[in-house]
Amino acid sequence: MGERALGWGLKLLGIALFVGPFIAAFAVHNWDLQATVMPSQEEMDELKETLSGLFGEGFSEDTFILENPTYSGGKIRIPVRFTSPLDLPIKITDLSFAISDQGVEVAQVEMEETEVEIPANGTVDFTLIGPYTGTPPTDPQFTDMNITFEAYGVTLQMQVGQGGEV
Amino acid sequence: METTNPKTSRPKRRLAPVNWFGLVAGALMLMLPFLGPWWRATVGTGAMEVALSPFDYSISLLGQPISSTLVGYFLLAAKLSVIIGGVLMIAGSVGAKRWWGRQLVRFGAMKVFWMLIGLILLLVLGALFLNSILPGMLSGMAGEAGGAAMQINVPYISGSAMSTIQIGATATITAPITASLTSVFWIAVAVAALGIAARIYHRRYVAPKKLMVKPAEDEAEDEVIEAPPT
Repeated sequence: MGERALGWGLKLLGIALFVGPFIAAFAVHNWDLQATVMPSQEEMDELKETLSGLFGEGFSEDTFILENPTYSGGKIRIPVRFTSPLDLPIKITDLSFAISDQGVEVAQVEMEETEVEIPANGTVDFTLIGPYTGTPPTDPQFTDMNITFEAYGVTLQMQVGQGGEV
Repeated sequence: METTNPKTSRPKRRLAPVNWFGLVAGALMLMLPFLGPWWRATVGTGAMEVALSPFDYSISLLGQPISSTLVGYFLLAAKLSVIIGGVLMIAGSVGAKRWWGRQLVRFGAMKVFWMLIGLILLLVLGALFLNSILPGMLSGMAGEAGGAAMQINVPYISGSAMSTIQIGATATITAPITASLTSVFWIAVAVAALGIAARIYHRRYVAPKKLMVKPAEDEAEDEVIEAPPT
């Protein structure tokens, strides 16, 4: 008799521990399926705020400022000032593009530094460098721009076909 | 020459039989819910972090935690279930020869084992969904909006992989994903093994059911009936 009762008691305990959480969780949220299963509205709002805040005001013309290039020793050097619009620290691991003059590619430049770390909403200066011989271009255009950012260990690589004047 | 007086010498006290496997497994079951996650995964360097165990979970996206009430309650129940299982396992192991010993040990013995199986199944099915089904679904949705190819590589249970999202021809997002089992998982494996051993070992304390032949008056039928438990 006692053995049977214990057996049933343990079985019921097992069932209660399985069914109980369902009932308790739904009861807490007035039997609202979405509120019970999904994260709370507060958490979703905070997450949305974090994600939208990351991009700040977004990229603009002032994000990358290319200073006047210098030519010496068969090389072209272009100082760059990058002002991050992002609310998180990032790294630029690659920035390169081709320079064309009168429709002819005359140089390829890339970062002199291996990588540049930029604090949230910070500004950094770095240099683009590439081999160059001949007279300075009269109507320089940059094309085939390749830029790679890294944030939180996630890499974003962007390729832009046509750029503006150097 | 030493002599012993049978009247004065005390009879040797024998310790009550204890299921030692069950005792150790029960004690570890009481600790297990508080030892931390069994499995961890990270996307990038903190872009997303997931830590799982049958008793607790944490998911954070860019440091922002995400939770679900239903999952929270379920894991709380799992925690209670293992703690109760552990207590009953200890009681059943100490009272191994009592009529209730076997049932109490049985209640707790397989709990951690099934939790391990459940977690492994969840991880394998989750990785299968992310690797094989989700990219197709999202690429289809993005295809209608402009075009994106997604290749998610999530390691099955443990390892590292690289996932990529190609947005048109202009942008590629690459994220390394690392997943690993923690040392607590291996403690859980040991607890599950001890639980199984306790259940098998406990058989020695259960008297085999005797078969009794009914007396002569029913000889013609020669019916065999079971004896009541001793």
